[in-house]
Amino acid sequence: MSQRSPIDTLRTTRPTAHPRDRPHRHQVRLVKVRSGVAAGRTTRHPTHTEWWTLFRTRDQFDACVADDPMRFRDPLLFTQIKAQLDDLFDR
Amino acid sequence: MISSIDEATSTGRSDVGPDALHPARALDLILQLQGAEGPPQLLDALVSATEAIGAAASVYSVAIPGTEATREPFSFSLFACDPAFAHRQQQRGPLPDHPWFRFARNHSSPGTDRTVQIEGPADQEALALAQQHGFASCLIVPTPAGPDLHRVEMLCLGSRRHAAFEGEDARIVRALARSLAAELHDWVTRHLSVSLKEAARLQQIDITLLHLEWQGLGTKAISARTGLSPSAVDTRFQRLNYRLDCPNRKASARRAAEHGLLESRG
Repeated sequence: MSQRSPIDTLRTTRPTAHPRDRPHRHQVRLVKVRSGVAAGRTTRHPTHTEWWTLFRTRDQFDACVADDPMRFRDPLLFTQIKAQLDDLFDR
Repeated sequence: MISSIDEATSTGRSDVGPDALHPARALDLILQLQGAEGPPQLLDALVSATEAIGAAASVYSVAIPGTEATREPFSFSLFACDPAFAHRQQQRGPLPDHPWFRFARNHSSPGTDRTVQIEGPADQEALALAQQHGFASCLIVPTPAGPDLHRVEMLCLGSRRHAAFEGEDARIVRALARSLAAELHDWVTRHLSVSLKEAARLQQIDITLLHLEWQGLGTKAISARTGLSPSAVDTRFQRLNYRLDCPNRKASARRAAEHGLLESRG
């Protein structure tokens, strides 16, 4: 997976935009499910990739991103994702 | 009852539980996959089914290689395992480059880690990473996408025990794994086709045109079948090609077929 683009928790393009016009950015979606919080990550370049994984505890997220360059390159977005995850676990 | 593949799961639970090891329970959970509203719920259901089968972890992935028709490569994956594995594996590179996927690309029947060919240090690193996260041994179930399609799908079940999927003892587990892969295939095919239909704003007449093109019919034959004039057929295909981001109608039809939107040529 490319590590150059920032992670963006928000939809960045119009859904009807032509694929060529859509910026190549990463998106992260967090969804509360029965056994935890499902996290979906989508990238558009160079490969259109969508992958989902399940966090059963908050600690699993911390362990996952401990060595992720994103955490240091864009700490604000990382904090937003972490806050969103905590909020979902608290519900 | 089937024998437990693993005492513990890497997805957080300390044990599988005796009721989860019953084939009927596993089959019931597999059948519930079709009720998943979206990928998050499907992943949740896959985690439950994986545990019921007695495996430590599973990964299901679909890859559509980049061609003139499909343009950019596409992959969709569900990691019902330790999220750290998913994260580190994705950092290593696309899952379609994994040796498991190469096995699925070249085989139609399931195989275990013993049948996966290692072609270099990258393969060894990929398998070593998997072994650290609940895939000490694994069962790979390729899922044929259909005739004339390049799409590759696979389910990989993992166990912390070596050789857990070998021999007669794992016969029922292998059968359940094939059922699980088939149900996932059906769900993902529906998901991909709906996603493409929405993204390209396809109407029923568009799908009919793509289907007829996929069958190899020319403008005149399509015109006769649909009641549209030949020029209307050509115009509609031009718009379709733009919306599907394909250079021509043949490529558009292939893209639609790869995403499960069309029936096979036959």
